[in-house]
Formats: sequence, C-alpha cells, structure tokens
Amino acid sequence: MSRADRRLQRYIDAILRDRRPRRTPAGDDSGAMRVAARLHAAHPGAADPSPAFVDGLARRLRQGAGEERVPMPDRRKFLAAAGVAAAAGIGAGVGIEHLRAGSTVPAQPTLTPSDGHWVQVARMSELKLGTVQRFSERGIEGFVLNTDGRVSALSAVCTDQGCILQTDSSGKQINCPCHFAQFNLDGTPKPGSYHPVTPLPVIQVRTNGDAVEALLPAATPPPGWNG
Amino acid sequence: MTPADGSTPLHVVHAEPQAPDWEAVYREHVGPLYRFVYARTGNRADAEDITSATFVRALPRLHAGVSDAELRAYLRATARTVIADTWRERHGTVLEEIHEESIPNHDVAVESHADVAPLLDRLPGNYRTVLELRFLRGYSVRETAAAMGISVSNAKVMQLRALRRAAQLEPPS
Repeated sequence: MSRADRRLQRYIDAILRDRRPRRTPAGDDSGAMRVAARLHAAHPGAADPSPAFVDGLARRLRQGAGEERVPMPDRRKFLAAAGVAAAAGIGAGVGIEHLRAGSTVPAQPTLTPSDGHWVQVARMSELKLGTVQRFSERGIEGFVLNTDGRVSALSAVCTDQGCILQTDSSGKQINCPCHFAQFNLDGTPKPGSYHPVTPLPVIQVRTNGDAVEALLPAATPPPGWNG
Repeated sequence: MTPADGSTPLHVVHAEPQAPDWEAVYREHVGPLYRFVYARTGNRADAEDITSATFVRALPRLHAGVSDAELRAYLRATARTVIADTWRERHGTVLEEIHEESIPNHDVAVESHADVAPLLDRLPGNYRTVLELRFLRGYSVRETAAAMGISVSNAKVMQLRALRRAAQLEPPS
C-alpha cells in the first residue's frame, strides 16, 4: 500500500466509525474522500441528528438570542411561505396572540373564553389517579387529567396544525397523529419530538361535588356577537 | 381573567417558558441541514459542529418575512462555507462543491440507498459490491472479503480503487 493508500484507508476507517477524520493532506484523494462521506451518509439511519444534539443546540441558540436580542423571523410568515394553511389553535377557539410575540418568552396560554361557563366534562368518581379522559364540549376539544391526584385539563388540539391529539397506550404522553409531535401531560412539548410545537393551552377546571367542570364558552354566542 | 361566576379555578398547570418563534424555525430546518452537512462530511462530530456553526452564524442575520426556500438556501450556502473552511484547514486543499445536480432532491437525497444507486450502478461489479458491503451494510474488511470470496488485502485495496473510480465518475462542478 502506498502512503496515499494508507491515508485514504485511515479516512475511511474514521468515517465508518462515525468519527472525525484526522488532519492529513488529501493529496489527489479529496474526490474519493467525498464519495466515502456520501456513501456513509446513505447508510440507513446514519444521517439523522440525535435529539440530544438538536435540543442542546436549541439551548445554545436561545441563550445567544437572549443576549444579543437579535430580530428573529416571524414563524407565521414562515408558515405562510411554506403553504401551511392551518394555524395553531384553530378549532379550539383559543386566542393565539401568544404566537405573535417576538423574542419574549410567553408562558403556557390559558384558554379563557370571553363568556366562560363552568360545564361538567367528567366525573371525579371515574377519574382515578393516572387517568386521562378526552372530552368534546362547547366546541372545545380537551383532556381531563388526574396525574398527581389533582385534576387539570388541556386543549386536545395540536399547536402545530390543529390536528386532534390522542393519548398513547401508556397514558403517559399525548401524541399528534399528523406529524408525531408529542406532549407531556403538563402540556409541554416533548424535547426532540417533531419541531414546531408550543405548549398546549391549559383549560381551567374545578370540582363541584362529583362533577369535574371546565371553564368553557357559552353554548351559543352572546346576543350582538358578530365575530 | 375571572370566570363568569366569580369562582377560582381548581388547578392551572404551569409550563416551562414557551419557545420563541425562531426556535420553531430552527426545529424545522435543523434536520434537513444536518443531513445536508452529513452527506458532505460523513461523520457525526463534524456534522454536529458544522450544523451548530451554521445556525450560530446564520440566525442573527435572519429577518422577518424571509421565505422558507430563501432560508434553506441561505443555511446551505453558509454551511458550504463552513465545510470548505473545515476541509481546507484539515486537508490542505480547496474543496469544490459536489455537483448539485448529482444529488437530486436534496432533502431526501442522503437518506436512502436509492440515491447513491445511480453512482454505484456505473461502477464495475466488484467495485460496486465492495462499496455496498462496506458503506451501506457496514461490513468490516474481513467480512467483505469473506462475502466476496477474496483475500483481506485484496478487499482493502479494492475499496480504495472503487472510491477513486467513483470520484472520477462524479466530478465536482
């Protein structure tokens, strides 16, 4: 084997172990080295970023963004440009002003109907610890959860494109059937899951005897309502 | 806001602070960009470093209203610069960009066998086989030699020749 052969061999060995090749002159073999890189990238599953890397870089960028206060692109315009029609929250009638916020960090939104009424959506006697129950009431799709002995509720509409969410078989997380976004039972998006998700809006709930009641819109719009 | 009947809610879950808009943009683009870089570096450490450097450079320069396609093009142009810098620093030569048309449909290009197939198809049978076994199936040199019924030293030399031949078939633009 010539010196050039050994050099190319070492390059291949590094690439195939998914390691950074060492510093070495490429000589006439830069083309061969590039083909090696490209072939290795075609290895099934070889070329996807790890969730840990994606989340770590997001954290780094977030810190940088906070310090420099750089203007960031408007997600809504990106969505429009990408031809994505459905905006987050559609179907739940939830205010989506929080999505327009600039580089500030808005909190998880709370669904707050203008004309809210407490409406029964579940029974305490059926909501055992660890239970997640879907409800569909007054135009609102939601989950009632008894995760830690306290009852809470979340919107069941994905904040990405408005698909209706489902719980997985374990009942430990909420999945979107459209793009596989995943949410924890507190409504926060799961790190590393499908990209654009903001937290699920919280729906206010209370107990009234055995009834679990959620604060939902009136059954019909109030008189004089015109949008 | 107070509910209509003046009572207080039983329990409101508080979440982590919500991600700002740019993070959604980042998450949309990080996967495709990473694969773009990976196809040109072939290893995870470089792909991670170069993807990071690209976003760190490019994100502050973005402005509202830029289209998805413009952003993708900008990220790729930035990544190419970083890749070329890395290459020059490490291997001492100027890296010409791989011919763009040779990688049809970039976003999915690097994810399947299908798209290196046209290149492999143009190689003589043994060259094609040795590259498939080594790179796509992840065989060791020894396993490759056994599968092909040749000696280990032959397999070693053959993979180098195959790569060099493939490089001639695939000239940079």
